[in-house]
Amino acid sequence: MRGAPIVFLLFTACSKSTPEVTPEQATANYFAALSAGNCSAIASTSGGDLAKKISTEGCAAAVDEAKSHGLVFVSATGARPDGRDANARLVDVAIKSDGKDKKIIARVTQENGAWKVAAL
Amino acid sequence: MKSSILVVRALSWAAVLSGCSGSADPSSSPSTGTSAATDSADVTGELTMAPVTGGLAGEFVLASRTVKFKAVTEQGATDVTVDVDGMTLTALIDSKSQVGDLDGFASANGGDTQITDDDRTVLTAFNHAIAANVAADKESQLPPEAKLLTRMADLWADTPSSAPLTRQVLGQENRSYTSICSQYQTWQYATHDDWSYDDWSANSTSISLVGSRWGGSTWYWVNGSWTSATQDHKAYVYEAGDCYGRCGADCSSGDQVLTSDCNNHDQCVRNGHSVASMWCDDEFSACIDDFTFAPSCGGTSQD
Repeated sequence: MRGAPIVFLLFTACSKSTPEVTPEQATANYFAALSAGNCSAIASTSGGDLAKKISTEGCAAAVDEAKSHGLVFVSATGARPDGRDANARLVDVAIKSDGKDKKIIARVTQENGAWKVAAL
Repeated sequence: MKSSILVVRALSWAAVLSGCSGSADPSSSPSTGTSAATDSADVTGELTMAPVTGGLAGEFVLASRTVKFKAVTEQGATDVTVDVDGMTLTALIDSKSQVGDLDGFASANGGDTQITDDDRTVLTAFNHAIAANVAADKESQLPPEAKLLTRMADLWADTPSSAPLTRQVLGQENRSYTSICSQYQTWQYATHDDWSYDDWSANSTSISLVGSRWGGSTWYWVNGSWTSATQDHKAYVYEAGDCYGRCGADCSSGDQVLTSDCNNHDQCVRNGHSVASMWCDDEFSACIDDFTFAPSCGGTSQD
């Protein structure tokens, strides 16, 4: 059918604006990269203020911080919009660090069509 | 008991080490010109406020940003509200019972939000402005709510992005918080725990000069001289300046609230942990009741 390829192209063009990876998965990917000491992946999964700090202090510093606290990622859930910024999501993160269970809120923002962890 | 014995032994070793580290006395503040240091209590922005029934209200303008605030007491509890950058921060505090409720949300829709680095910039300036006015009020013309407003502004300016804005606060002196007013301008241990180093381990413990201002910068005694270069988990470093031990990110005008928990929080944030604030969230959480209820220490408004 002649119209099908056009419909298909329109569909893919529209769906490109939605990141393929959810904010929760993007957060999990960042923590996985951090735990693995994978600086390339850390760079690709971080953005905003967090990326600036990593750039200033160095990836090794971020990795060392995580190791010195015995970081174990548990889960990232409950992504919800920041009521002040439609481009940002707040994600509930459960981790183990310093031998304790902890819960923090990660800030995730959309950059170039992908969710990235912007603040911890 | 065991931990106090370890602390005493550590103090002995620290004294020996400091004696061997050089001829300069660590209790002497660094000379000017060693490093660029600005007074963190500098006030910028324009503050206007006026009495209202039960308290005060006003606004603070910093460049193009406006903070609107109100602190009003009804039936024994003070309701503090600060609106900044589309965010509403609230605190309902019963100072007599030492119970409080804190909250923060997007003003337009009540949705969740976080305090970002950008928010902290204007909240810090707002805090400095309010504190300067309270400190200058020698004849107590401002209503008492102004002091609580200063405390809450201090708390919110120091709140990390990773911490929730909604929580209850319960205070009890010498149980949930310990005032160290009597330790002002003395060297005291401060510590934080992490995986590699427990509380009071050498590499997670510093010796801080409680309440020292020293031009609004943190100084570290390294190899016989003072440096403003951050020391990352070094053992038993003498540290001072920027109102160490004060409940607040830096110095502001007036007397300081000095507590053990705030001393420990300062030690955590000033010794590494520069990439993610979450590593010191535990220490920050322990400070919240200190910010709110611990007594202010008279005579600590200047070095």
